[in-house]
Amino acid sequence: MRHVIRRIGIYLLAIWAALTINFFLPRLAPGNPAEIVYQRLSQHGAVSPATLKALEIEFGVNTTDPLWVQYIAYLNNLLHGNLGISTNYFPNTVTQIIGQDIKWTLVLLTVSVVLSFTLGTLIGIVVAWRRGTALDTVLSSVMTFFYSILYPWLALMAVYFLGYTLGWFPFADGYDVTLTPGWNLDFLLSAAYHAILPALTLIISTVAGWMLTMRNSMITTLSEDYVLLAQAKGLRSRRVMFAYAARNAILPSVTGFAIALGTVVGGALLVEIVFSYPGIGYALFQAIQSQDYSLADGILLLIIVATVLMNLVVDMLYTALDPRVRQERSA
Amino acid sequence: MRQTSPSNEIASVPGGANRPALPPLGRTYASPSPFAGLMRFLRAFWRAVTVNRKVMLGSAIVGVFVLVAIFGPIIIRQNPLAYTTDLVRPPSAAHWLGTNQGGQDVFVQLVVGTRSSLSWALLSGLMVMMISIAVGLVSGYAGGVVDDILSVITNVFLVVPAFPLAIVAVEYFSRSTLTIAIIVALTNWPWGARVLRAQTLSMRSREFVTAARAAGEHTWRIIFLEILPNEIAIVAASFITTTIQVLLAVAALEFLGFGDSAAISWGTMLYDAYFGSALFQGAWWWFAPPGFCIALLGAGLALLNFGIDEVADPRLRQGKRRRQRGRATVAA
Amino acid sequence: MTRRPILDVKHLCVDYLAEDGVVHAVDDVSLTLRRGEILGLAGESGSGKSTMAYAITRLLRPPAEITGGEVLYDGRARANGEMTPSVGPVDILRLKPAQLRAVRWSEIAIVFQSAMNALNPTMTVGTQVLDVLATHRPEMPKPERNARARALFEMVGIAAERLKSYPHELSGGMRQRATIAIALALSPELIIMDEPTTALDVVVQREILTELMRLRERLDLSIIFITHDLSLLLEIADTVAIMYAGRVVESTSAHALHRQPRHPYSFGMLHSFPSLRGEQRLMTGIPGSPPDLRAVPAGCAFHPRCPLVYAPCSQVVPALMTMPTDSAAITDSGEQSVACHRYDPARSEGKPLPTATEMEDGYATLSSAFQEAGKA
Repeated sequence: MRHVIRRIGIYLLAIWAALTINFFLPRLAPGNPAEIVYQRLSQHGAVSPATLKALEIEFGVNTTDPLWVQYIAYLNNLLHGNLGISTNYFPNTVTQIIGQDIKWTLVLLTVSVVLSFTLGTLIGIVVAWRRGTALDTVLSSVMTFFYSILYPWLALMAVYFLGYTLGWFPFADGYDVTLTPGWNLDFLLSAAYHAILPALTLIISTVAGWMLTMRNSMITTLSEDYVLLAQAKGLRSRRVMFAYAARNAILPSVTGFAIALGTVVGGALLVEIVFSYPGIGYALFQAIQSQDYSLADGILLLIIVATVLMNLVVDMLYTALDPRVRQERSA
Repeated sequence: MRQTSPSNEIASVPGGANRPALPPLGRTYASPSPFAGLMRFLRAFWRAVTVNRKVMLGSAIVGVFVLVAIFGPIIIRQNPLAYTTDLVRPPSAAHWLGTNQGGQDVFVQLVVGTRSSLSWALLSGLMVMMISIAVGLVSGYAGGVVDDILSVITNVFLVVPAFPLAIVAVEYFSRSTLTIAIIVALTNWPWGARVLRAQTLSMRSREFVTAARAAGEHTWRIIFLEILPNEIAIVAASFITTTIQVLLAVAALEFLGFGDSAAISWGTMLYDAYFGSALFQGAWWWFAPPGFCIALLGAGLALLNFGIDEVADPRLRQGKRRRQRGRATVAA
Repeated sequence: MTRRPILDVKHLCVDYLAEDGVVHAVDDVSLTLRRGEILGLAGESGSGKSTMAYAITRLLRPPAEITGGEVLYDGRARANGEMTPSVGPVDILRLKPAQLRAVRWSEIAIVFQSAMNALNPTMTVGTQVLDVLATHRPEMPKPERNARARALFEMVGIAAERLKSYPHELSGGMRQRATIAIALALSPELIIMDEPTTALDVVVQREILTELMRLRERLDLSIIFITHDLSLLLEIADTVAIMYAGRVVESTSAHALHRQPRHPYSFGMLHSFPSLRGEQRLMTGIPGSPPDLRAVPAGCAFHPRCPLVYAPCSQVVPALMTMPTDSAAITDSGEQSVACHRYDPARSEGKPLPTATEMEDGYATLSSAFQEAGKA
């Protein structure tokens, strides 16, 4: 129980730290972000001085309030889900925009991560079981190359070769824009079709990491006595491979998964940008391009909270997978 | 995880910082030549880089890139930013990798960009390692409240996603590769710190540390001159891992346009290609090479790392003829 | 009453392919285990005794490789769990994978040294018993399998509720009992025990040994017992083989070995612990350390540590020679094999057969010589 409380404490602290960094960043930055945004807005038409005032409050410039008062106000706003107003999509609130975009990212990310982790882990298991064979040599070499591939580069290659040149897949937007979004088959099929390339990019660029981690972990596990004993027991290879070796080898893999989550989320953002995919990554990029600070901050906060929550889920998964930790934690 | 040399050997050479870190490098031969020291170093170096196939291939790849980074710009002597009238030409004898929208030679940019990409990756990697070492060693050695606080901070930063934070942070400060490097360094240190903390924790109770403490050595001396040299293998391995991460992170941020606009690197080449719509001009030669180089350099570094793993853990070595000293694993 | 051999190992060789050449971990070893007996295999670490266990069951993994020999197993052949008369010995090394899987565990089971490492940490011990039954007795109904698992646990002295426990929830002794229960699951004829009690404390060790001897009587097991503890073997084993650097140096009945260890290495091993009975002797032990298998000394591998060393020892590898035991009082098979030039009339160079006094004095001299060398 103490362990669980400790982990949750860490996660709460992580969220708090991220919020605080987010609060201080614009205040530490040189120049006056409120001024920049105000200038930009006024190019699009008349803006009232009240807007400048609101922006100044948001960024903490030109204010007489002490820092801690601003800080409390900031936290209070967040607590009420008030992330401010997007300057880019004025007068939509940040919460509204995020609400629209998050669905796309959530589906893309979940599907890709689940597929690539499963696939990578399975390949890792098989390759470790047959280590030293041609299969292992070929796959391990190829995966070493893909291990440190740059997400946006792979996305560019996919767009160019599979999308632009061969024309097999659409390579921009999340769906056929002539369709109206909704729960109808045409739209869903179109959305799935558009998701193939981004998802494929994400899967290919992450699968190598899971595979190589699992391979190493599996090889280490294979030399354990309990695997040898399982073989001596005359069990079928498949049972030895999965119930004895892989079942234990996956534990370090799950820990690695938690650590890699942040990187994968970052990768998803980059892939969305290249594919102009209507998720929060593309929105974040556009917000930064157009200096829509409140939207950018809001998205960042969301990503941080989501990553922390995912960590919590992985943590619980690990607890469920390892009886030793399970017991220790419930004790 | 990885093992370092046994403690008794260490105790006899207090603070010997330049002890060979990875494989046993074997005997060194006394030689009357004035170059004896150099020769010995070269021999040791050669033995280290040829310790197994992975390390060999990895060092070869990384070595080529290092040579290109050092000598490439000197040999090429061509301005990578020089505009020509050959716009968006495919690869040819005159332009090995074709030209871009401004008629700039892609091959020249690639060679010149190697220096920037490699040095920023190494520099940021170095910054990351310095933070990791400081936090990990102090945390592991000090224990108690200091350790608790540092561990919590490490765990907190481990959970916070580095890249999105970096994107937003970069936006508030001046757009330059230095900003990127600093921010990448500040967001990537926790992993190495955690690994080093665990190792330091187990090293704290070794005899040579106890001996140093009994001899009244200063705490900082013990941490950085006694313990650190014995964690060189782990430091090297996490430095390599970190460098891969950082290479990718810097390139990704440059790709988004946060780098120096005047500088040439693999990341800015990708930025130029993407936003100069290389895609729709069919100019694959513009964006394919820089990304390929990143993946190849990354693979070289990864191979080095896997090779070091194999040296440290014989179980990972492959199949026949390439394993095992003596009877260790099976006959034990 | 000579019983038929259940296991006959002939000229077995195991090599390790190391980076810098080939290592002979087991070099031309022959052993015979008669039905219902305990064969003790003793030696220092690295002598090849554990490699023997893995080779007999074909569990060796690269870089270890069996390069020659035969492992003839003559069990009750079984079909569908029914015992049928023997069809004559089979060479385990030549079995096809499916045949091998059938022989494994239902005929030959293994108990490993460290029960903590031998049990899957993410599976209850009960499941680890049941999956043996599920694989080899698919026709057995589930409730029966469960009952069998409970019976097995009670047989080795663990409460049946413990079947639901994970290995980390059991004490060291209980874990070892659980691995023995797993080994007994299919009532095998032969159990190979690789240092089954080494990792346990003395009291638990004793309890488990007693349990084992009881089970052996009851189930008519044949056992290969591997240990570095020669005194333990003298107590429980029928015959003993002593290995050094991958070769058998002496092989005889426990009784004969106890009365008169012939090889200087056996002699040294027997006297490297204080004798509980008899007159007090100086505890000498064998000076030096076991050889690095990558650089085994030429000739007799033991010669650098041997108190009887003379010229031929560093030149010719001594062959294992069989001779009758000295004492007429001994009623067992009466043979004692030893690989030492001093017992070979053709090479003894006129020296008399070694005596206990000679070996004892030799060790004393050797010890002080080693100590001198250590100081220098």
